[in-house]
Amino acid sequence: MSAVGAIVFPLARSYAAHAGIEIADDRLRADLEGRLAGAGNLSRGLFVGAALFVRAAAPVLFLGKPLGFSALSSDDREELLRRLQCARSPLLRGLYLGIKPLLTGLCYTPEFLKRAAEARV
Amino acid sequence: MSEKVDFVVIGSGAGGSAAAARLCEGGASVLLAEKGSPASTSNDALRAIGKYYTNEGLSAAMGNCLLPIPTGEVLGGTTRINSGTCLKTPKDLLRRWEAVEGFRADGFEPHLDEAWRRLKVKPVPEETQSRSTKLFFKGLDSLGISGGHALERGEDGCVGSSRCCFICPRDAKMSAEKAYLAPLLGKPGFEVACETELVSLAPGKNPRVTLRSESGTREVECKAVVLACGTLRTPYFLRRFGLGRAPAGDALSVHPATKVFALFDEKVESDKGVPQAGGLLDPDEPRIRYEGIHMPLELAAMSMPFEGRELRRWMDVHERIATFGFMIRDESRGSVRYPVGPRLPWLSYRLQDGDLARMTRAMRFLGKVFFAAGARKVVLPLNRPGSVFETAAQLQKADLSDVRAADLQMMAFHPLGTCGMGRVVDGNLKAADGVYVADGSVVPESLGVNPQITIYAFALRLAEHLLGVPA
Repeated sequence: MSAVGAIVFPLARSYAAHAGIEIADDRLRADLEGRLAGAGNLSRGLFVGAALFVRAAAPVLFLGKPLGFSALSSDDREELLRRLQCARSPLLRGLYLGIKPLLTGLCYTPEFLKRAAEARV
Repeated sequence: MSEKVDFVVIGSGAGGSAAAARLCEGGASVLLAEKGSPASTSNDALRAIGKYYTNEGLSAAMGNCLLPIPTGEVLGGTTRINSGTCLKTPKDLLRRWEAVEGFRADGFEPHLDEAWRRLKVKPVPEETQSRSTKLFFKGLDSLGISGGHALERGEDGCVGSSRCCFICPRDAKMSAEKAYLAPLLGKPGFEVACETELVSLAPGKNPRVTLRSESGTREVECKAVVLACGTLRTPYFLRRFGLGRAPAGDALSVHPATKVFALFDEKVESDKGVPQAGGLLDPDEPRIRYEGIHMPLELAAMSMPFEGRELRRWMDVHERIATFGFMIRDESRGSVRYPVGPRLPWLSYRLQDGDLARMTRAMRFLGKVFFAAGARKVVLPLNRPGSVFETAAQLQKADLSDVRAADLQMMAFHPLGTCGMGRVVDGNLKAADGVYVADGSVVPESLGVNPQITIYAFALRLAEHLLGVPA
């Protein structure tokens, strides 16, 4: 796994699990590395910064809890994600929104969305 | 050893491509240098953003809000990644611009017409309009609001692939390189150099430029240089080389834009059809223009103002979500500076109270239209609790007076004005001896319409001026 992938993967896995989206680890790793391979240096740098921020700094900053993202309770993770999405600081929200396309792109794939639609038919 | 051509054009967007082509068609030798490369089609929007958007799509203005401003770094410039919508310059603005010496509205309009023809502009036919667009029209009809119309776009063979902003898989969009450059490729005296950057520029009667690519540097002498690097990059060169009647980089207008989401009982499949197919000028506030917009499936989740399990619930019903957007002819202004060079410009922008009020007004209007079309829920693009509404009455009564600019989920697609005509460049778009500008930066004020036709027209007019064609 690439150095960037190694930093982002735990967040991507926790993010998917939190949303109740089942993705096998090897599939998630492969998709993530595929995305990273197509990303430029600027994006990769932002992914690293944002992943570290969400995983380690954001729980302290937004919830006052010195726990990693994966170690938070489900309710705390939901609240943290909500606060990241709604951060009024353009810098903080920009940092988070820099990685959101990667995380949501890994989870809410066209295949996932089609399955969700078919599940209701 | 220095090369010699008649004209050097830097940038291949709407302005650069049109200027280069018209100069060549007028018999001049032209070298067009473009920092990006030609695009190849694909069905992967994330890949397209990473490869063909400036700074991998990570350009954003900050101030009292976060405002992503995507532009293109690719052959064809931002026209390769825009929605293709074409609207002519409002006549009242053309008349106002006559205050700039050398500009005449009746001398500009033929160039608007020329660009319109060259781009094969036509209304979006009903069969390729997205379902979201049709629901928007249905809501307007239900409310008795007239004025909704099919938007007009430059296209040749569009089938509604829905990827206008991510490189059309059929190459059907009439972007700048397709409309203006492709017909001239191979013509003697016309060269397009991709992956080539401007390094230095010396103005004068015979200006000189230094260009750099992977294969080395080139020194070129010419009769005139046309800078067409875009609103967010051309000011760098003017500031760096001390060009322009006033410092470039201020008076940035952007048309802040966003979209409203609506959940219906029926299937909407909003990733199908032309995303920007319908429009309406607000019946009561002429600074608000409604235009359709939606995202490909792989970007749908990114654009919703939710996260976590709440986002999951919305994505589970994604096929029933319609979207429609709007943009504001902004009174707000921003600026661009380059503390670490041209590759990472610092964009600032403050959304003023008047424009903020227009944003909330427009959101409420779109929500009302969607409810009138039968929506079960409407989501306003607000990053704060209370953005979901279940009835039109609830939306109507909602107090949005405490919405702040920082709460808005917005983007902006039309940066303009940083080298404004009459301020930085003169009425003939001249910045200095032998140096001219032809891109969105010369548009003197916020347009209120999609700007590409205006930019093409400025460039065509400049080219004729350089060729000595009487206005």
